[in-house]
Amino acid sequence: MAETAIILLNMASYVLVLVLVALGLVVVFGMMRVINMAHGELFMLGAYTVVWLQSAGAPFWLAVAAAPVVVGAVGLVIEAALIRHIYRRPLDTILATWGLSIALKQAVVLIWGPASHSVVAPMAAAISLGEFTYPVYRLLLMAVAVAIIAIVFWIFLRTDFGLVARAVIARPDTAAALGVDTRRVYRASFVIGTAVAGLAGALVAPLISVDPQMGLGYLIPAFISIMVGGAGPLAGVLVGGGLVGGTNNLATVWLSPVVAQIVVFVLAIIIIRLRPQGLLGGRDGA
Amino acid sequence: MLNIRGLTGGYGRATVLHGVDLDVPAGGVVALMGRNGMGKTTLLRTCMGLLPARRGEIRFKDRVITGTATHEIARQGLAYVPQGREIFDELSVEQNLRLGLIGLPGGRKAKVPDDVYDWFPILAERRRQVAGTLSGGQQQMLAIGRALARRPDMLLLDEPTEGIQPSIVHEIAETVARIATDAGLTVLVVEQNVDLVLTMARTIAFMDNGRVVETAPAAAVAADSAILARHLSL
Repeated sequence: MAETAIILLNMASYVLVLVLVALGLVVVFGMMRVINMAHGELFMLGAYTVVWLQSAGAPFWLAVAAAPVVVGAVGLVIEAALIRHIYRRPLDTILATWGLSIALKQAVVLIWGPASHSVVAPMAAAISLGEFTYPVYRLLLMAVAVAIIAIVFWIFLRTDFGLVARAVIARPDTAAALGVDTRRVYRASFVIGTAVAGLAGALVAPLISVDPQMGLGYLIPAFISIMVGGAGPLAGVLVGGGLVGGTNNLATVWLSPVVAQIVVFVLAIIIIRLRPQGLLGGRDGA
Repeated sequence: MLNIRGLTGGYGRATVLHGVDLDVPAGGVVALMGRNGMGKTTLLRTCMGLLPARRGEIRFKDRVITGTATHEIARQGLAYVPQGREIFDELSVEQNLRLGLIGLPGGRKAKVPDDVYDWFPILAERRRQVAGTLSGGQQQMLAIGRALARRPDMLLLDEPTEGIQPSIVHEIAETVARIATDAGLTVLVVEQNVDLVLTMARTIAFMDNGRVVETAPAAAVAADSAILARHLSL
């Protein structure tokens, strides 16, 4: 019983981090048709921000709070230097951002080396309830992740910025003709997406090995989540992330990591075959 | 208000406009007619900065707007209702109208002017309704209301009657003509429906092969059916 609860909680924390990564990806794709292959590396940079600041003596939570700012700033530079030249050209974006992903990985290797780093968990404490014990940090991570997901949804579904952003997603030319500076909306959305990825990397840093390859392990399931859930409405990410992340995680625990990959891909193929637009796809906007 | 000289442009490598000259005076309602594929929609999209001008010049309120970004042109007071209405189907009527304002600097706090609801009372009634569920005619009113929400100086209107019941066509034509008179709005409308054009416009410009080939007062066109036959028959 306690064991099952722990497995389910671990699954939930994995799913939530996956949703954070996928959210940035889907916003950038939905709005600008940019398939950002470097999104995993922005996630990675979030984790390395924590490695860097912690080694400089900063407390863990300060480092986590700094991660979205640092990665968001990197995102701003990437947008200005690269992404804005390739808006609405999906194939070109794959190549350009793939190159960027390699460059970012190598930059990290040059600075921190190819080996993995470990981030010291800020609290070793665990909550005990009878025979059930669970690390407090993982519970906090989940709470923060839920809050961030809620904030991103609130921004895009409830604020005026979100209203404008959804208009730009649905009809970019018409939005521009109404006086919307679409470039600015693109830039802001890209930075929000990268900042959230950076925060996700920082939050998950104490739980996984921080190394230059860590991004890929989240990028691929994040892409599959979007395909399964549908790239139209934001809620598709929740459905896709839950299904892909949940299946992946449970199958890894109960079967093996290799079988889990196979199960996830087969599931994704079946769903995409039956619903090419994804489970919630085929609808625009929210 | 709008002065176009020697405008050449099109999509990608295809040239559609071959040196357009056209003047729309302040407060005037000009209709642009011509067979399909003669460049009417291309002309409006180029005025709006959605397509590049290759040669020639577009002046709006005596300022050159060729090469200016679309949102800047919009902010200078030129509004555009595209063909097919292009309303935001999943948003409410009120959100659609607010989108006519909140993209502008300082527009977040602006309210949809009551005028818009006076001109199109149905929009006030349906304020909370999802725009995609409106009828074609109501969607057209919404698209026009959205464009007028920020009180532009001039409206570009592309095929407002396409796919709309005849009963509503006349209502829309009369409302737009009334707004032009009441609010001093300048209008350039692309339209195939002769009835509507004669109701609304004071001047009719005919396009053929990417040029404006003849301009005539609406009264003259109404009196002499040969003019229409010359430019519109296949």
